Amino acid sequence: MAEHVILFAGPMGAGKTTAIESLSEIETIRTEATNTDRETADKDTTTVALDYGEITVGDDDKVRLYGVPGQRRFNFMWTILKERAVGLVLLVNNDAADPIRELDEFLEEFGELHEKGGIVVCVTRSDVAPTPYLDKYAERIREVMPGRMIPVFTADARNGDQMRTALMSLIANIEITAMIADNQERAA
Amino acid sequence: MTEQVSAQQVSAHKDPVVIAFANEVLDGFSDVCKSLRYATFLTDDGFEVASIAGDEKQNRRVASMASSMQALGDAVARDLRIGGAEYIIIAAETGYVIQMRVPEHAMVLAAHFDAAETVGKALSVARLAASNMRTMVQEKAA
Amino acid sequence: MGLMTKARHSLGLVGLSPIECAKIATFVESEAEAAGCPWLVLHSDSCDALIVPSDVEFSADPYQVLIRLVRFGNQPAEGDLCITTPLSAAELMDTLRKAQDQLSSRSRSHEVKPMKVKMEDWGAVPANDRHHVPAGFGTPAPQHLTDGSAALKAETWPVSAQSSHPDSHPAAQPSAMHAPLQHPQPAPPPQPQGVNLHASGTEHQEFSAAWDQIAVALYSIVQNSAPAVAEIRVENLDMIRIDFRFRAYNSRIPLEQVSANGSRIAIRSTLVEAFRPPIVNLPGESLDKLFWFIGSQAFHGTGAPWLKPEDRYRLRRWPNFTELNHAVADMRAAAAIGNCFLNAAELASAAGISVESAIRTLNAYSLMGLLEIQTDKTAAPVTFTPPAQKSGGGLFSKLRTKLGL
Ligand SMILES: Nc1nc2c(ncn2[C@@H]2O[C@H](COP(=O)(O)OP(=O)(O)O)[C@@H](O)[C@H]2O)c(=O)[nH]1
Ligand SMILES: [Mg+2]
Repeated sequence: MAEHVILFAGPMGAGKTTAIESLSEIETIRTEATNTDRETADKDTTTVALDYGEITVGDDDKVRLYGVPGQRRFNFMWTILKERAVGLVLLVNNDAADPIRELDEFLEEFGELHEKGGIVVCVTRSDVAPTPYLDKYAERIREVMPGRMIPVFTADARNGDQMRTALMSLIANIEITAMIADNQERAA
Repeated sequence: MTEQVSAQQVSAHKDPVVIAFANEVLDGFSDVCKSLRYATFLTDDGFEVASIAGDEKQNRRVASMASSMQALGDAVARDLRIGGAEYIIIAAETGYVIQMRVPEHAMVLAAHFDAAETVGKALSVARLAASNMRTMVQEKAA
Repeated sequence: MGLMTKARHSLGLVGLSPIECAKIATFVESEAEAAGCPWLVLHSDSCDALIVPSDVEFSADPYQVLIRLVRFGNQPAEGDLCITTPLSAAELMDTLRKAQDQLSSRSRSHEVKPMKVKMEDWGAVPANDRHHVPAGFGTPAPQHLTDGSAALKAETWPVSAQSSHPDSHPAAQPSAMHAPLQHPQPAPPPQPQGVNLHASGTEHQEFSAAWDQIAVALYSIVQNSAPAVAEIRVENLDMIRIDFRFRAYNSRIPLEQVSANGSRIAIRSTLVEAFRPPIVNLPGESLDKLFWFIGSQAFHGTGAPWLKPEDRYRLRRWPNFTELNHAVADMRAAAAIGNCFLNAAELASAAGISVESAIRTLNAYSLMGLLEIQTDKTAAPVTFTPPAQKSGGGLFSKLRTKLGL
C-alpha cells in the first residue's frame, strides 16, 4: 500500500483542522485543547498535537492528511510530521494581523517540502478580510521561492469542493513536475 | 460566554494568583518526593504556568510537548471509548515521566522522576499534587 | 488560421469629443450591420488606425494609419487621410476604405498582421484576486458609464444616466468603444478531440463570432491599463457590467446562461477617473472569472489574434481555480504550463488534452494576464513523453476517479 502524507500547515485560525475535516472520509482525529490565547485567534479550542484524516484510493493508496498545530511553540510537532510528508497545503487566513509575514514564516519552515513533492497555498477567510489580494501572495512566493511554481488559491476551509481543488492541484503539480524532471534527465 | 468567564480562562498562565498556587504546590511536591527531577503545570493548550527546576526555554518546550501528549492520549482513549485519559506514563531507561490533568480544569501536571522511585509512589504523589492544585484554584474562585 | 470575425482592423479614437466618438461608433456599427464593416472601434491608441483631431499634436507608430478629424474652421494637413465635421457616414467609410488599402499594402510589404493589439507590460496588469460573491445588479440606480471622463484623457462632461436606448440617442452616449457586431453564424467547427476543458456546460453551445470581438476589446482595455469601465450588452440588454479599476464585474444572470450564440452583442467602454464610484456592486465577481469564460470560448478554438503561434508561454501564477468553473484537466494543464514554457501543441501533449483545448486555455490565460512569453527564442522545444504509467495511473487520476471528478 502506497502512502501519501500531505501536511496542512499555517497559522492558528487559518482553517487547518476545518480543511482536514472537509476532506477526510474517516472521522478525523483531533487534538483540540481549550484555547487560552484569544488575541491570536478568537476561537474556543486549538490543535495542540495534530489533526488526522484519510482518503483511501482504491486498494493500494492512502492519502494521509495531517494538520500541524499553528503555534510556533509546537514546532517539535512540525519536525515530526514533516518527516514523512510529500506535500504541503499551506493555509493562511487573510484576516491575520500580517498574513504576508505568516506566509513568509511558514514557507521558511516548510519550504523544503517543495523539493520533497510540492506545495499549494490557500488563502482563507478572504470573505472576512478581502485584502491583501491573491496577487500579493503570488508575488511574495515568487520572491521567496524563485523559479518554483506554487499554486495559490483563495479557499474556504469549510468548502469541500474548494479544498479538493487545492488538493488535486497539488497532486497534479507534483506529478507533472516529476514528469518534467524525468524527461530532462532522459534528455541529458 | 460572558466576558468574565472567558477572562478567567485566558488567565491561567497569566494569572499571578494561579501561578503562585502552582509554585506552592510544586514546592510541597518536591519536599515529599526526593526522586522528583522536574515538574511543571501547564495549560491544556501548552502554556507553562509554573515549574520547578529546568531552564526557562526547556520549561516552555516541555509544556508544549506535554500538552500534545495529553491531547494524543485523550484522542486515543476517546477513539477506543475507554473514557478520559487519567494519566500518561512514559517509562525510559533512567526515569519516567508522568502526566495527568488537574481534575475539572484545563491544566496538566507533568513530572519527571528518576528510576529510584516506584511507579506506584510516583503516581500517588503526582495525583496528590494535581488534586491540591484543583482545591486551591477552586477555593480562589469561590 | 483566418479570423472568424469580420473585423480585421481596429480603429482607435483619440482626443475626440464624446459626441464625435458616439457618431463614429454608430456609423461603423450600422455599416457593420448593413454591409459587414471590417473595423472594430476601440478605445485604445494602439490600434491599426487612429482618428485624431487635426489640431492635436500626435505621432502615430509606424504600423498605424493616422486619420485626421478636421473640425470646422481648421485646415486639413497635407498628406494625411482626413474626415471633416459635420461627420458623415459616407465620408467616414470612404476614408476607412483608404486606410484599409494602406494597411493591406503595408502588410504585404512588411508582413504586418492585421488586428494589431500590443501585448506588453504584463507587470502593470493586476491579476485577479477577488473572492466569489453572488452576482446581480443591485441598488442604487446605475450611474454606470455616465460619470466617467470618457474617451479622452483630458475631457470630462456630464451625461445623462439614461442609457437604455443607445441606438436612438447615439449622441447622448459616452461610448468610446463600440464593437460593431452583426454576423452570419459561422459553420460550426469540428468537435474537439480528447479531453474537454472548461466544464461550463456550454461547451456544446458554440460561441458566436461576436464574442471574439468582445474578447479583443477586453484584451485591449486591459493592455491599455487605464482606469476604465465597460458594459456588455446582449440582445440590447445590459448584461454584464465591468469595472476594471476593481477587477470586478456584475452579471445579470450567471455567466453560463449568458447567450453564447447571440449575434447582437456589443461592448461599450469608457475611461473613468480613479476617484469615481465603482459601477459594480463591490466586491462583485472576479474579472478573471469573466475572462476565463470568454477567453476559453471565443475564437472557436483558434488562437487569439494577439498570440503568436511560434511563441511559448508560461504561467506567472496559477489561475485561482476555486473561483473558476474548471475541469480536472485544467489542473494538469496549469501544472504543465506552470513549470515550463510551452506552445499550444506542447501544452496539449504535456497535459493530455487536445490541441484545441490547449489553444483555448492559452487564449483564456492570456486574457487573464497570467502568461509570460519566452524571450529566449532559441531555447530547445520541450517534448513530453509521459512515463509509462503504473496500472491504474498516478495518484492524480486515481483520486480523480475516487472523488468522482
Ligand atoms: N468566514 C470564513 N471562515 C472560515 C474560512 N475558512 C475557515 N473558516 C473558519 O475559521 C476557523 C478556523 O479554525 P480552525 O480550522 O480551527 O483553524 P486552525 O487553527 O488552522 O486549525 C473555523 O471556525 C472555520 O470554520 C473562510 O474562508 N471563511
Ligand atoms: Mg487546528
